[in-house]
Amino acid sequence: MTPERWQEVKRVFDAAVQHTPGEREAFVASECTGDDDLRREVSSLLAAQEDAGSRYDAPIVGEGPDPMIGRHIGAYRLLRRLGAGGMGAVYLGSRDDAQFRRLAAVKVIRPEVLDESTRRRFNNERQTLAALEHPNIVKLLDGGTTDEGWPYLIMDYVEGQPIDKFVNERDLSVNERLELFRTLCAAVHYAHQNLIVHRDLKPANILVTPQGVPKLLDFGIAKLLKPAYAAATVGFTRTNAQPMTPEYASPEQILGQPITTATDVYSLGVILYTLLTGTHPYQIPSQSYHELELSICEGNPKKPSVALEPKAPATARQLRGDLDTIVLTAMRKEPQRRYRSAEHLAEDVRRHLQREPLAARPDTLLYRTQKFVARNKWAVSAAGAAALVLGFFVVRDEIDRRRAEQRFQDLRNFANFVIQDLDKKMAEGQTPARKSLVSTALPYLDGLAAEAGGDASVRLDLIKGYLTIADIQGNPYAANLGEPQAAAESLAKAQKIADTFAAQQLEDKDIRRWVSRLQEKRGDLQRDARNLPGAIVLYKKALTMTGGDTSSSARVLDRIAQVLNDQGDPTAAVESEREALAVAEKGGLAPIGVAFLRDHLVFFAMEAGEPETAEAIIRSAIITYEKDATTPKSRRNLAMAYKNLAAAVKRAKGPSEALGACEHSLSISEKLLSDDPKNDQNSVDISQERVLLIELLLQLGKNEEARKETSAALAQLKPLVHSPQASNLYLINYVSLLDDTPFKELANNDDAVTVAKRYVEITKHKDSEALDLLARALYRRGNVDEAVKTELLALDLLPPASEGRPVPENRRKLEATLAKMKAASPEPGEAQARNNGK
Amino acid sequence: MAEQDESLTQLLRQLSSGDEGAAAKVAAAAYGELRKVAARCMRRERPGHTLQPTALVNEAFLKLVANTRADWRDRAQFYAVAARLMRRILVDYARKRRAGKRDGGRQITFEDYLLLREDRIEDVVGVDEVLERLEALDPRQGRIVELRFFSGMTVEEIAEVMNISTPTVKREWSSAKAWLHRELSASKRAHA
Repeated sequence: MTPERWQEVKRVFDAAVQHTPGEREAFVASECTGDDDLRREVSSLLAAQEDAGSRYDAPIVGEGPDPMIGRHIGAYRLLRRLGAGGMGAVYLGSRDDAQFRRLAAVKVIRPEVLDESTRRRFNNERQTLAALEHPNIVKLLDGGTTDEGWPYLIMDYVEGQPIDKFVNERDLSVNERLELFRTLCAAVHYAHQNLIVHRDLKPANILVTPQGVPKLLDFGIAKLLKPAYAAATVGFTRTNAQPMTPEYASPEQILGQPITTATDVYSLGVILYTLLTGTHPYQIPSQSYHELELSICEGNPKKPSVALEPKAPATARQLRGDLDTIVLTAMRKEPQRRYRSAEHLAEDVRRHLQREPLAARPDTLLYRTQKFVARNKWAVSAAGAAALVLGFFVVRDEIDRRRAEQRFQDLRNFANFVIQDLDKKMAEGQTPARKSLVSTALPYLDGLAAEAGGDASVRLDLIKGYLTIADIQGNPYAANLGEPQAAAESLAKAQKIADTFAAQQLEDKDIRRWVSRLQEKRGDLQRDARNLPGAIVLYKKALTMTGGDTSSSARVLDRIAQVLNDQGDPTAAVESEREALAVAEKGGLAPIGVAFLRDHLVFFAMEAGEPETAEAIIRSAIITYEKDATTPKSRRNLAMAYKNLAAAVKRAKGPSEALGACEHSLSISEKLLSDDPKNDQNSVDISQERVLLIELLLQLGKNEEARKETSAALAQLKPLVHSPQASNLYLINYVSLLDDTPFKELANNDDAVTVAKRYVEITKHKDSEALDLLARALYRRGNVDEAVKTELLALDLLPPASEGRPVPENRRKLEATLAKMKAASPEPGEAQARNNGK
Repeated sequence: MAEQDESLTQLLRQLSSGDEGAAAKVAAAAYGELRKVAARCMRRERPGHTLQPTALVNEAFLKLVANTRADWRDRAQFYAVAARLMRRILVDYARKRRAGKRDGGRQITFEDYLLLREDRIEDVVGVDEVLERLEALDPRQGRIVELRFFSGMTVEEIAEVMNISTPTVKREWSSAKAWLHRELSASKRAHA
């Protein structure tokens, strides 16, 4: 069609649509006499117009059907949207099993509302939350991340109403409301005992089922959100225009002070206030959030008995006395003056219901006045003169001043706690406990760091505090919270303080020792982040400041040896480790420490191709262990020593000499396991020892025994490797047995590939050994090309061989395997290369 | 700031006198502004909030051109460029969404979901494809489709920014719709 022709078609079409649908055909026929083509064009357009309807006028953007509906998240299919907001959306999900259908609420969280560190912590957090099991707490069933990277939480679906609506629609009596409230307190108390603070208690988060059972929603979720999204934590610093209701927020939340269980007690007080009076404690007519925040921090709420709404469920007489006291005690500004726990609050409600005297005492006017004058000397004296004019600023200033004063006091107390007690508590603490302590301690330390003057002892305290915190956050050598970035930040803060010490102060032995420690920890993190040269620099710096402390010097030398080995120089590692051992023995380090260093030395010696050195060291260690092989722990050390001996002797003298040591170590471990069948460590050891034993038996041509052992080892490992929590060592041993076994009937190449792939995933494609195992499994299954590729990746991950040094053992092995695989590869290029090489 | 606005107006004038280089510069400026406005709107995060291209283009226009000595020709030029951009953005989204659905795992942001209606994806991609032919036949009619379908402007708004009469826009849009539908149905049959 030409543009001119199109204009013609349009002209007829435009004229035709002026006619009624019935007349159109005739009109078009008359207009197009002698031009059938034109008639067909126009007619088809007219038909199309009818068919199209308003299809092209409907907007293409906007609230279309939610694409999430019908999708599967976790085990649930999303049926409909229950609600949406800034945080994301909540859906009703269902899981259809053969027998029953289970409903759940699926909360999909917009990733933007989580801050970076939370996103990383998300899984840990939700496991903590999933541990809450209480009839009045909505159970977290599952959680994870969708394909698109959106975190989600799946929780029990509760059909119910927010508690304030529920009590009003049902027109519950005061006593019924109090009973409901007590149930609530018990649930909150349960969570507190599990070290979880809700942080955002409000009626919208408390649903009551039609049967009258209250269910608490979103426990601990507020903590996961960026401050701007957490409704309760607003503070004076709020900058976004989006209003978040702080009506149930406590003064400490507004002031940005640490959140404790007392924070929830406060919110419970406000909830009780509204349940009884039908109104909020702070009525700000202008709806200014700033004023509301000021009132929460400074204002005295009306007693519930004088704040009654006309439609309130209670009479003033019912509230006067006990209930006024209970509510206002829970809502006290100072966290330490509130009820000690939600349970104590519930207990006083019970006393009231049973007409017993309360535990709480009302604030007397005298108390209040004294307290106010003591706290606010300046404000009170100013009040007479200027408060009427400056009222607002006075209060505002006063909050700042009080904040600073109170915090510094808290800080000193807390710093002592961090340094002296935290360490001890951490040693036994559960992960959630450690977490909550870190999040409490860190703001205190930061505050103290900002306000501490030039006092050297305060500065040293701070360094110790940050070191402790950093250890918990991410010490790669101990159980930690898996937050190396946060740990590095804490150490950087400590270093900044350390940099302020004058040269003279650094002469002080104590200060020197801690600064050395700091360098060592920074080195640890550098090593963990694979910055090996950086780690060595820091360790060497640490070494110059240990002040002759045996344990520190030995430890740092040991670390240096490890890094040298990481760098592919086991020979240098042996040197450094020998030095460490010498320092340790000369300084009288505890036997366990010496043993530790010795193990490392053995390992490095083997890597460096010096099995004789290794053998000699192990033999001298065994003499020490045999003297005191009474406890399971020392027996295990002995077993490990024999196993290491077997490995060293095998290399130094051959398999027949090694066999005895290997069998001996296996028999010790088997005895240990039969004494303590649940001990996974023993089971792991046995699998290790068996792998070595099988290798020796095969080398010695004892095929029948080797077959028996292989079969036993595979039978032990097979059920273990498919468990999601399987120790990596199980996976390694299982695959290497399958990779190396000459007994065809015991091989299971598919299983080997599957398990090896899983191990490669677990180690994030960063572990050379894992890739080597996979390559060999693939090779065995006949996937030669893929095996070659995988083995090359494995080799790439090893430190490069340096000139003038012997090729490290692991590299040598992998190169040999690769050559074997390439020889079998049908790839023409490779074959060509091989021919040329001949 | 005023200087920049001035130069955009300048560019729009060059554009109306057929300067191709000016088109690219206007497009770049408009695109930047559209993205900024979109991002700002998305941050408001009201439940059920949606982002209408019309509002987007209007806001971008106000930001970039208003308060300068722009006349209707500048405005028409700007809307034409912006509508073209919106079309490209939306069609891109639609294609990605369609692809994303088929091969699963691709990264999709929350914004994608909020912006484009799931049940209109096929139309967006389809209209874009057949519209090219209509544009060859009748460029002005093609622009009207862009403003109406992709930018969601009303007939009256289109008449205003293009400085033509409302009945003309109505007529052109009516035959365009019939044409689009016929071509889309035909291409669907061809693929079926």
